[in-house]
Amino acid sequence: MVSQYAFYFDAAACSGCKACQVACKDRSDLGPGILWRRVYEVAGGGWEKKGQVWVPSVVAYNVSMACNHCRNPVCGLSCPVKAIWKRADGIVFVDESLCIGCRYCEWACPYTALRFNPATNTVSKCDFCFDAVDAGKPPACVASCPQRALDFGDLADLRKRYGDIRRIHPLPDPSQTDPALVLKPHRDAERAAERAAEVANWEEV
Amino acid sequence: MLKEWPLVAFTIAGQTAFGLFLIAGAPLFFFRDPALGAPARGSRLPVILTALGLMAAASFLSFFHLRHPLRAFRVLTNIKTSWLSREILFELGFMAFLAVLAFLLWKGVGQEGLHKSLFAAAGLCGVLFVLSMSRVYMMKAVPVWDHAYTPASFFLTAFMLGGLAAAAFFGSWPAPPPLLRSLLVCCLALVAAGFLAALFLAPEHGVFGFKAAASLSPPGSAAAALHFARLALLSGGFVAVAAALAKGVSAPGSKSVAVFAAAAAFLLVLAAEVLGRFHFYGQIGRPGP
Repeated sequence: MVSQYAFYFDAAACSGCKACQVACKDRSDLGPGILWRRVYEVAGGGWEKKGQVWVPSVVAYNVSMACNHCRNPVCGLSCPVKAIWKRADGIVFVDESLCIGCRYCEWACPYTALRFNPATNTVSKCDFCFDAVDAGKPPACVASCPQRALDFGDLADLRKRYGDIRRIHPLPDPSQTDPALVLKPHRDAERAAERAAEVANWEEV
Repeated sequence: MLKEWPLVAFTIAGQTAFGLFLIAGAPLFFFRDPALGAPARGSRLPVILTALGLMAAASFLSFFHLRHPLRAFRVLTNIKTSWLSREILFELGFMAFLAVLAFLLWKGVGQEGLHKSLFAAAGLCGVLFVLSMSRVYMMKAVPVWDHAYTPASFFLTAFMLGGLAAAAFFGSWPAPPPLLRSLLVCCLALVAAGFLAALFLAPEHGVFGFKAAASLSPPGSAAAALHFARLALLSGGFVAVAAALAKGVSAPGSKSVAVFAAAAAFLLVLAAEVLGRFHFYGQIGRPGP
Protein backbone atom coordinates (compact mmCIF):
# COMPACT_ATOMS: atom_id res chain seq x y z
CA MET A 1 0.00 0.00 0.00
CA VAL A 2 1.48 3.30 -1.10
CA SER A 3 1.35 5.93 1.64
CA GLN A 4 2.81 8.80 -0.37
CA TYR A 5 3.32 8.80 -4.12
CA ALA A 6 6.38 10.79 -5.21
CA PHE A 7 8.41 11.74 -8.26
CA TYR A 8 12.13 11.19 -8.77
CA PHE A 9 14.03 13.49 -11.11
CA ASP A 10 17.60 13.00 -12.27
CA ALA A 11 18.88 16.42 -13.35
CA ALA A 12 22.14 14.87 -14.49
CA ALA A 13 20.30 12.68 -16.99
CA CYS A 14 17.79 15.23 -18.25
CA SER A 15 18.60 16.56 -21.72
CA GLY A 16 15.82 19.15 -21.70
CA CYS A 17 13.93 17.54 -24.57
CA LYS A 18 10.59 18.38 -22.90
CA ALA A 19 9.00 15.08 -23.86
CA CYS A 20 7.60 14.91 -20.30
CA GLN A 21 6.02 18.35 -20.67
CA VAL A 22 4.42 17.46 -23.99
CA ALA A 23 3.28 14.01 -22.84
CA CYS A 24 1.58 15.59 -19.82
CA LYS A 25 -0.15 18.18 -21.98
CA ASP A 26 -1.27 15.54 -24.43
CA ARG A 27 -2.51 13.06 -21.85
CA SER A 28 -4.50 15.67 -19.92
CA ASP A 29 -5.55 17.61 -23.03
CA LEU A 30 -4.33 20.90 -21.55
CA GLY A 31 -5.04 24.13 -23.40
CA PRO A 32 -2.50 26.69 -24.59
CA GLY A 33 -0.32 28.08 -21.82
CA ILE A 34 -1.29 25.47 -19.22
CA LEU A 35 1.59 23.27 -18.17
CA TRP A 36 1.22 20.81 -15.34
CA ARG A 37 4.81 19.68 -15.89
CA ARG A 38 7.42 22.19 -16.92
CA VAL A 39 11.07 21.90 -17.86
CA TYR A 40 12.95 24.89 -16.47
CA GLU A 41 16.22 25.73 -18.16
CA VAL A 42 18.50 26.99 -15.39
CA ALA A 43 21.49 28.98 -16.58
CA GLY A 44 24.04 31.38 -15.15
CA GLY A 45 27.67 32.32 -14.96
CA GLY A 46 29.76 33.82 -17.72
CA TRP A 47 33.48 34.36 -17.68
CA GLU A 48 35.86 34.43 -14.75
CA LYS A 49 39.51 35.37 -14.53
CA LYS A 50 41.86 32.71 -13.25
CA GLY A 51 45.34 34.21 -13.04
CA GLN A 52 45.85 35.91 -16.38
CA VAL A 53 43.35 33.76 -18.19
CA TRP A 54 39.61 34.23 -18.74
CA VAL A 55 37.76 30.94 -18.56
CA PRO A 56 34.05 30.21 -19.00
CA SER A 57 32.15 29.69 -15.75
CA VAL A 58 28.78 28.89 -17.31
CA VAL A 59 26.39 26.62 -15.41
CA ALA A 60 23.41 25.16 -17.25
CA TYR A 61 21.02 22.33 -16.52
CA ASN A 62 17.33 21.48 -16.67
CA VAL A 63 14.79 20.95 -13.93
CA SER A 64 11.60 19.05 -14.76
CA MET A 65 8.98 19.99 -12.22
CA ALA A 66 5.31 19.20 -11.68
CA CYS A 67 3.21 19.19 -8.53
CA ASN A 68 5.23 17.49 -5.81
CA HIS A 69 2.11 16.30 -3.98
CA CYS A 70 3.61 17.76 -0.82
CA ARG A 71 3.02 16.22 2.56
CA ASN A 72 2.31 19.74 3.81
CA PRO A 73 0.41 21.09 0.80
CA VAL A 74 0.33 24.85 1.39
CA CYS A 75 -1.96 25.23 -1.61
CA GLY A 76 -4.66 23.26 0.19
CA LEU A 77 -3.98 24.92 3.53
CA SER A 78 -4.41 28.35 1.96
CA CYS A 79 -7.51 27.51 -0.08
CA PRO A 80 -10.50 29.24 1.57
CA VAL A 81 -13.03 26.73 0.24
CA LYS A 82 -11.12 23.46 0.80
CA ALA A 83 -11.12 22.77 -2.93
CA ILE A 84 -7.67 21.15 -2.72
CA TRP A 85 -7.49 17.82 -0.99
CA LYS A 86 -5.09 14.92 -0.52
CA ARG A 87 -5.92 11.28 -1.21
CA ALA A 88 -4.83 8.48 1.12
CA ASP A 89 -1.95 7.64 -1.24
CA GLY A 90 -0.68 11.24 -1.05
CA ILE A 91 -1.89 12.54 -4.42
CA VAL A 92 -3.15 16.12 -4.16
CA PHE A 93 -6.23 17.00 -6.21
CA VAL A 94 -8.15 20.16 -7.08
CA ASP A 95 -11.93 19.84 -6.92
CA GLU A 96 -12.86 22.18 -9.75
CA SER A 97 -16.51 22.17 -8.73
CA LEU A 98 -15.57 23.90 -5.46
CA CYS A 99 -12.83 26.25 -6.70
CA ILE A 100 -13.89 29.92 -6.62
CA GLY A 101 -11.02 31.02 -8.85
CA CYS A 102 -9.38 33.36 -6.32
CA ARG A 103 -5.97 32.02 -7.47
CA TYR A 104 -4.53 32.38 -3.99
CA CYS A 105 -3.05 28.86 -4.21
CA GLU A 106 -1.05 29.95 -7.26
CA TRP A 107 0.88 32.36 -5.05
CA ALA A 108 1.12 29.94 -2.13
CA CYS A 109 2.80 27.11 -4.05
CA PRO A 110 6.58 27.68 -4.23
CA TYR A 111 6.80 25.20 -7.12
CA THR A 112 4.16 27.13 -9.14
CA ALA A 113 2.33 23.85 -9.66
CA LEU A 114 -1.13 25.43 -9.67
CA ARG A 115 -2.08 26.69 -13.10
CA PHE A 116 -5.14 28.73 -13.95
CA ASN A 117 -7.36 27.21 -16.63
CA PRO A 118 -9.33 29.93 -18.47
CA ALA A 119 -11.64 27.32 -19.95
CA THR A 120 -13.02 26.33 -16.55
CA ASN A 121 -12.09 29.54 -14.66
CA THR A 122 -10.53 27.40 -11.96
CA VAL A 123 -7.01 26.38 -11.05
CA SER A 124 -5.70 23.03 -12.21
CA LYS A 125 -2.66 20.92 -11.50
CA CYS A 126 -0.90 17.60 -12.00
CA ASP A 127 -3.10 14.73 -10.83
CA PHE A 128 -0.24 12.21 -10.98
CA CYS A 129 -2.12 10.49 -13.85
CA PHE A 130 -4.03 8.82 -11.03
CA ASP A 131 -6.15 6.69 -13.35
CA ALA A 132 -3.05 5.25 -15.01
CA VAL A 133 -1.30 4.79 -11.68
CA ASP A 134 -4.37 3.09 -10.21
CA ALA A 135 -4.26 0.71 -13.17
CA GLY A 136 -0.62 -0.11 -12.42
CA LYS A 137 0.85 2.08 -15.20
CA PRO A 138 3.29 4.97 -14.89
CA PRO A 139 2.33 8.65 -15.18
CA ALA A 140 2.63 10.00 -18.75
CA CYS A 141 5.69 12.14 -17.98
CA VAL A 142 7.60 9.20 -16.51
CA ALA A 143 6.63 6.89 -19.35
CA SER A 144 7.68 9.41 -22.00
CA CYS A 145 11.17 10.27 -20.74
CA PRO A 146 13.72 8.86 -23.21
CA GLN A 147 16.59 9.43 -20.75
CA ARG A 148 14.89 7.70 -17.81
CA ALA A 149 15.39 10.92 -15.88
CA LEU A 150 11.98 10.59 -14.24
CA ASP A 151 10.67 7.88 -12.00
CA PHE A 152 7.79 7.54 -9.60
CA GLY A 153 6.72 5.39 -6.69
CA ASP A 154 6.28 5.38 -2.98
CA LEU A 155 8.38 8.13 -1.40
CA ALA A 156 9.99 5.74 1.08
CA ASP A 157 11.04 3.37 -1.76
CA LEU A 158 12.39 6.20 -3.90
CA ARG A 159 14.46 7.43 -0.96
CA LYS A 160 15.89 3.97 -0.46
CA ARG A 161 16.86 3.79 -4.13
CA TYR A 162 17.99 7.33 -4.85
CA GLY A 163 18.72 9.11 -1.56
CA ASP A 164 17.04 12.06 0.06
CA ILE A 165 18.05 15.18 -1.85
CA ARG A 166 15.02 17.42 -2.34
CA ARG A 167 16.57 20.73 -3.25
CA ILE A 168 18.68 22.03 -6.07
CA HIS A 169 19.00 25.63 -7.13
CA PRO A 170 16.56 27.42 -7.65
CA LEU A 171 14.02 25.18 -5.90
CA PRO A 172 12.64 26.42 -2.55
CA ASP A 173 13.55 25.16 0.88
CA PRO A 174 11.73 21.80 1.18
CA SER A 175 10.81 22.57 4.79
CA GLN A 176 8.15 24.94 3.42
CA THR A 177 5.95 22.17 2.05
CA ASP A 178 7.69 18.83 2.64
CA PRO A 179 7.53 17.86 -1.06
CA ALA A 180 7.24 14.23 -2.13
CA LEU A 181 10.26 14.57 -4.37
CA VAL A 182 13.66 12.96 -4.70
CA LEU A 183 16.35 14.55 -6.83
CA LYS A 184 19.70 13.73 -8.29
CA PRO A 185 21.48 17.07 -8.84
CA HIS A 186 23.32 18.03 -12.00
CA ARG A 187 27.03 18.59 -11.40
CA ASP A 188 26.55 22.33 -12.08
CA ALA A 189 23.83 22.69 -9.44
CA GLU A 190 26.33 23.08 -6.62
CA ARG A 191 27.81 26.25 -8.18
CA ALA A 192 24.55 27.58 -9.62
CA ALA A 193 23.59 29.87 -6.72
CA GLU A 194 27.01 31.51 -6.47
CA ARG A 195 26.96 32.11 -10.23
CA ALA A 196 23.52 33.72 -10.05
CA ALA A 197 21.90 31.07 -12.19
CA GLU A 198 18.20 31.56 -12.81
CA VAL A 199 15.42 30.26 -14.99
CA ALA A 200 16.22 31.20 -18.57
CA ASN A 201 13.02 30.16 -20.34
CA TRP A 202 10.22 32.07 -18.59
CA GLU A 203 8.32 32.49 -21.87
CA GLU A 204 8.01 28.74 -22.01
CA VAL A 205 7.12 27.73 -18.47
CA MET B 1 -0.12 43.46 -12.59
CA LEU B 2 -3.02 45.59 -13.83
CA LYS B 3 -5.22 42.48 -13.68
CA GLU B 4 -5.01 42.74 -9.90
CA TRP B 5 -7.10 45.95 -9.83
CA PRO B 6 -9.94 44.32 -7.83
CA LEU B 7 -7.46 43.43 -5.09
CA VAL B 8 -5.97 46.93 -5.18
CA ALA B 9 -9.45 48.45 -4.86
CA PHE B 10 -10.55 45.99 -2.15
CA THR B 11 -7.49 46.38 0.05
CA ILE B 12 -7.33 50.17 -0.17
CA ALA B 13 -11.07 50.73 0.30
CA GLY B 14 -11.15 48.27 3.21
CA GLN B 15 -8.13 49.81 4.90
CA THR B 16 -9.48 53.35 4.41
CA ALA B 17 -12.81 52.29 5.95
CA PHE B 18 -11.03 50.92 9.01
CA GLY B 19 -8.77 53.97 9.34
CA LEU B 20 -11.66 56.42 9.04
CA PHE B 21 -13.76 54.42 11.50
CA LEU B 22 -10.98 54.40 14.07
CA ILE B 23 -9.55 57.91 13.72
CA ALA B 24 -12.81 59.80 13.19
CA GLY B 25 -14.92 57.52 15.36
CA ALA B 26 -12.77 57.14 18.48
CA PRO B 27 -12.93 60.86 19.48
CA LEU B 28 -16.69 60.92 18.84
CA PHE B 29 -17.32 57.88 21.03
CA PHE B 30 -14.70 58.29 23.75
CA PHE B 31 -13.87 62.02 24.06
CA ARG B 32 -16.02 64.17 26.28
CA ASP B 33 -18.28 66.67 24.54
CA PRO B 34 -16.39 69.76 25.83
CA ALA B 35 -13.20 68.51 24.20
CA LEU B 36 -15.04 68.20 20.92
CA GLY B 37 -16.66 71.61 21.27
CA ALA B 38 -20.01 70.36 20.06
CA PRO B 39 -22.36 67.49 20.77
CA ALA B 40 -20.58 64.54 19.29
CA ARG B 41 -23.44 62.08 19.20
CA GLY B 42 -25.07 63.55 16.12
CA SER B 43 -21.87 63.13 14.14
CA ARG B 44 -21.37 59.49 14.99
CA LEU B 45 -23.85 58.15 12.46
CA PRO B 46 -22.28 59.81 9.36
CA VAL B 47 -18.85 58.42 10.31
CA ILE B 48 -20.17 54.89 10.90
CA LEU B 49 -22.26 54.99 7.73
CA THR B 50 -19.31 56.24 5.66
CA ALA B 51 -17.09 53.45 7.00
CA LEU B 52 -19.85 50.90 6.37
CA GLY B 53 -20.40 52.21 2.85
CA LEU B 54 -16.70 51.98 2.09
CA MET B 55 -16.60 48.43 3.43
CA ALA B 56 -19.62 47.48 1.33
CA ALA B 57 -17.89 48.95 -1.74
CA ALA B 58 -14.69 47.08 -0.87
CA SER B 59 -16.60 43.81 -0.51
CA PHE B 60 -18.40 44.33 -3.80
CA LEU B 61 -15.14 45.10 -5.61
CA SER B 62 -13.46 42.02 -4.14
CA PHE B 63 -15.88 39.80 -6.05
CA PHE B 64 -14.27 40.92 -9.31
CA HIS B 65 -11.13 38.95 -8.56
CA LEU B 66 -13.10 35.72 -8.19
CA ARG B 67 -13.76 33.72 -11.33
CA HIS B 68 -16.68 31.92 -9.67
CA PRO B 69 -18.21 34.55 -7.35
CA LEU B 70 -21.43 32.55 -6.94
CA ARG B 71 -19.44 29.88 -5.11
CA ALA B 72 -18.05 32.43 -2.67
CA PHE B 73 -20.59 31.48 0.02
CA ARG B 74 -18.20 28.65 0.92
CA VAL B 75 -15.36 31.03 1.67
CA LEU B 76 -15.53 30.58 5.44
CA THR B 77 -15.06 26.81 5.33
CA ASN B 78 -11.30 26.84 5.95
CA ILE B 79 -10.94 29.17 8.92
CA LYS B 80 -8.61 26.66 10.54
CA THR B 81 -5.72 27.13 8.09
CA SER B 82 -6.55 29.77 5.47
CA TRP B 83 -5.79 33.43 6.14
CA LEU B 84 -8.10 34.29 3.27
CA SER B 85 -11.01 32.67 5.12
CA ARG B 86 -10.02 34.50 8.31
CA GLU B 87 -9.79 37.80 6.45
CA ILE B 88 -13.36 37.39 5.20
CA LEU B 89 -14.53 36.34 8.68
CA PHE B 90 -13.13 39.51 10.27
CA GLU B 91 -14.37 41.62 7.36
CA LEU B 92 -17.90 40.30 7.92
CA GLY B 93 -17.57 40.79 11.68
CA PHE B 94 -16.41 44.39 11.20
CA MET B 95 -19.30 45.10 8.83
CA ALA B 96 -21.84 43.40 11.09
CA PHE B 97 -20.83 45.47 14.14
CA LEU B 98 -20.84 48.65 12.02
CA ALA B 99 -24.31 47.81 10.70
CA VAL B 100 -25.75 47.13 14.17
CA LEU B 101 -24.16 50.29 15.53
CA ALA B 102 -25.49 52.36 12.61
CA PHE B 103 -28.97 50.93 13.14
CA LEU B 104 -28.96 51.74 16.87
CA LEU B 105 -27.65 55.27 16.23
CA TRP B 106 -30.22 55.84 13.48
CA LYS B 107 -33.08 54.69 15.68
CA GLY B 108 -31.63 56.49 18.70
CA VAL B 109 -31.88 53.41 20.88
CA GLY B 110 -29.40 51.70 23.16
CA GLN B 111 -27.35 52.96 26.06
CA GLU B 112 -24.09 54.84 25.67
CA GLY B 113 -22.25 51.81 27.08
CA LEU B 114 -23.73 49.56 24.42
CA HIS B 115 -22.68 51.96 21.66
CA LYS B 116 -19.15 52.14 23.02
CA SER B 117 -18.99 48.35 23.36
CA LEU B 118 -20.14 47.88 19.78
CA PHE B 119 -17.57 50.44 18.63
CA ALA B 120 -14.83 48.59 20.52
CA ALA B 121 -15.94 45.22 19.09
CA ALA B 122 -15.98 46.67 15.57
CA GLY B 123 -12.53 48.14 16.19
CA LEU B 124 -11.17 44.77 17.29
CA CYS B 125 -12.62 43.09 14.18
CA GLY B 126 -11.18 45.92 12.06
CA VAL B 127 -7.68 45.44 13.47
CA LEU B 128 -7.92 41.69 12.89
CA PHE B 129 -9.31 42.33 9.40
CA VAL B 130 -6.32 44.46 8.34
CA LEU B 131 -3.91 42.13 10.11
CA SER B 132 -5.30 39.02 8.42
CA MET B 133 -5.38 40.91 5.12
CA SER B 134 -1.63 41.34 5.41
CA ARG B 135 -1.13 37.75 6.58
CA VAL B 136 -2.81 36.59 3.36
CA TYR B 137 0.25 37.82 1.50
CA MET B 138 2.92 36.80 4.00
CA MET B 139 3.65 33.45 2.38
CA LYS B 140 7.00 31.69 2.48
CA ALA B 141 6.60 31.03 -1.22
CA VAL B 142 6.69 34.78 -1.86
CA PRO B 143 9.67 36.10 0.13
CA VAL B 144 9.22 39.68 -1.16
CA TRP B 145 5.88 39.83 0.64
CA ASP B 146 6.82 37.75 3.68
CA HIS B 147 8.11 40.73 5.64
CA ALA B 148 6.99 43.12 8.36
CA TYR B 149 6.71 45.78 5.64
CA THR B 150 3.49 44.14 4.41
CA PRO B 151 1.43 44.67 7.61
CA ALA B 152 3.21 47.96 8.29
CA SER B 153 2.31 49.34 4.88
CA PHE B 154 -1.29 48.09 5.14
CA PHE B 155 -1.80 49.78 8.52
CA LEU B 156 -0.05 52.93 7.32
CA THR B 157 -2.40 53.08 4.33
CA ALA B 158 -5.35 52.71 6.72
CA PHE B 159 -4.17 55.42 9.08
CA MET B 160 -2.93 57.87 6.44
CA LEU B 161 -6.13 57.76 4.39
CA GLY B 162 -8.40 57.39 7.42
CA GLY B 163 -6.66 60.25 9.21
CA LEU B 164 -6.87 62.61 6.26
CA ALA B 165 -10.53 61.73 5.68
CA ALA B 166 -11.16 62.33 9.39
CA ALA B 167 -9.37 65.70 9.19
CA ALA B 168 -11.57 66.73 6.27
CA PHE B 169 -14.62 65.55 8.23
CA PHE B 170 -13.70 67.35 11.45
CA GLY B 171 -12.71 70.46 9.49
CA SER B 172 -16.14 70.70 7.93
CA TRP B 173 -17.83 70.05 11.28
CA PRO B 174 -17.79 72.48 14.21
CA ALA B 175 -14.82 70.86 15.87
CA PRO B 176 -12.52 73.06 17.96
CA PRO B 177 -9.23 74.19 16.38
CA PRO B 178 -7.03 72.25 18.87
CA LEU B 179 -8.66 68.96 17.86
CA LEU B 180 -8.27 69.72 14.15
CA ARG B 181 -4.68 70.85 14.66
CA SER B 182 -3.84 67.68 16.61
CA LEU B 183 -5.39 65.58 13.88
CA LEU B 184 -3.43 67.38 11.17
CA VAL B 185 -0.19 66.92 13.13
CA CYS B 186 -0.97 63.20 13.38
CA CYS B 187 -1.66 63.09 9.64
CA LEU B 188 1.62 64.85 8.95
CA ALA B 189 3.50 62.29 11.05
CA LEU B 190 1.65 59.39 9.39
CA VAL B 191 2.31 60.61 5.85
CA ALA B 192 5.97 61.13 6.76
CA ALA B 193 6.08 57.59 8.18
CA GLY B 194 4.41 56.23 5.03
CA PHE B 195 6.93 58.06 2.84
CA LEU B 196 9.94 56.84 4.82
CA ALA B 197 8.65 53.26 4.99
CA ALA B 198 8.16 53.22 1.22
CA LEU B 199 11.47 54.95 0.54
CA PHE B 200 13.50 52.50 2.61
CA LEU B 201 11.50 49.28 2.80
CA ALA B 202 9.34 48.92 -0.32
CA PRO B 203 10.19 45.59 -1.93
CA GLU B 204 12.55 45.60 -4.89
CA HIS B 205 12.95 49.38 -5.24
CA GLY B 206 13.19 50.58 -1.63
CA VAL B 207 16.70 51.48 -0.43
CA PHE B 208 16.77 48.48 1.89
CA GLY B 209 13.80 46.71 0.28
CA PHE B 210 13.83 42.95 -0.16
CA LYS B 211 15.13 41.85 -3.55
CA ALA B 212 13.70 38.69 -5.07
CA ALA B 213 16.12 35.77 -5.37
CA ALA B 214 16.10 33.14 -8.10
CA SER B 215 13.10 30.84 -7.77
CA LEU B 216 10.49 29.01 -9.81
CA SER B 217 8.10 31.97 -9.48
CA PRO B 218 7.89 34.08 -12.61
CA PRO B 219 9.49 37.49 -12.39
CA GLY B 220 7.24 40.40 -11.52
CA SER B 221 6.44 43.44 -13.59
CA ALA B 222 6.61 46.17 -10.94
CA ALA B 223 8.12 49.22 -12.61
CA ALA B 224 10.41 51.50 -10.64
CA ALA B 225 8.37 54.41 -12.04
CA LEU B 226 5.40 53.30 -9.91
CA HIS B 227 7.54 53.39 -6.78
CA PHE B 228 8.98 56.83 -7.50
CA ALA B 229 5.60 58.25 -8.54
CA ARG B 230 4.22 57.01 -5.23
CA LEU B 231 7.01 58.76 -3.33
CA ALA B 232 6.35 61.99 -5.26
CA LEU B 233 2.62 61.85 -4.50
CA LEU B 234 3.25 61.13 -0.81
CA SER B 235 5.57 64.14 -0.74
CA GLY B 236 2.76 66.22 -2.25
CA GLY B 237 0.38 65.00 0.45
CA PHE B 238 2.90 65.89 3.14
CA VAL B 239 3.33 69.41 1.72
CA ALA B 240 -0.46 69.91 1.57
CA VAL B 241 -0.92 68.96 5.24
CA ALA B 242 2.11 71.02 6.29
CA ALA B 243 0.71 74.02 4.42
CA ALA B 244 -2.61 73.70 6.25
CA LEU B 245 -0.81 73.60 9.59
CA ALA B 246 1.36 76.57 8.64
CA LYS B 247 -1.71 78.57 7.69
CA GLY B 248 -3.26 77.71 11.06
CA VAL B 249 -6.77 76.54 11.84
CA SER B 250 -7.85 79.23 14.29
CA ALA B 251 -8.15 82.37 12.18
CA PRO B 252 -11.43 83.11 10.40
CA GLY B 253 -11.57 81.37 7.04
CA SER B 254 -8.49 79.28 7.76
CA LYS B 255 -10.59 76.27 8.66
CA SER B 256 -11.95 75.97 5.13
CA VAL B 257 -8.35 76.14 3.88
CA ALA B 258 -7.51 73.26 6.23
CA VAL B 259 -10.45 71.24 4.93
CA PHE B 260 -9.38 71.89 1.33
CA ALA B 261 -5.76 70.99 2.14
CA ALA B 262 -6.82 67.80 3.94
CA ALA B 263 -9.03 66.80 1.01
CA ALA B 264 -6.24 67.53 -1.47
CA ALA B 265 -3.77 65.56 0.66
CA PHE B 266 -6.27 62.70 0.83
CA LEU B 267 -6.50 62.53 -2.96
CA LEU B 268 -2.71 62.71 -3.36
CA VAL B 269 -2.10 59.99 -0.77
CA LEU B 270 -4.91 57.86 -2.25
CA ALA B 271 -3.27 58.07 -5.68
CA ALA B 272 0.09 57.25 -4.08
CA GLU B 273 -1.29 54.18 -2.32
CA VAL B 274 -3.03 52.93 -5.47
CA LEU B 275 0.29 53.10 -7.33
CA GLY B 276 2.07 51.56 -4.36
CA ARG B 277 -0.39 48.68 -4.25
CA PHE B 278 0.04 47.98 -7.97
CA HIS B 279 3.78 48.00 -7.30
CA PHE B 280 3.20 45.53 -4.46
CA TYR B 281 1.18 43.09 -6.59
CA GLY B 282 3.60 43.56 -9.47
CA GLN B 283 6.38 41.97 -7.42
CA ILE B 284 5.32 38.53 -8.52
CA GLY B 285 4.00 37.29 -11.80
CA ARG B 286 1.37 34.65 -12.28
CA PRO B 287 2.48 31.67 -14.33
CA GLY B 288 0.57 30.65 -17.43
CA PRO B 289 -2.51 32.36 -18.88
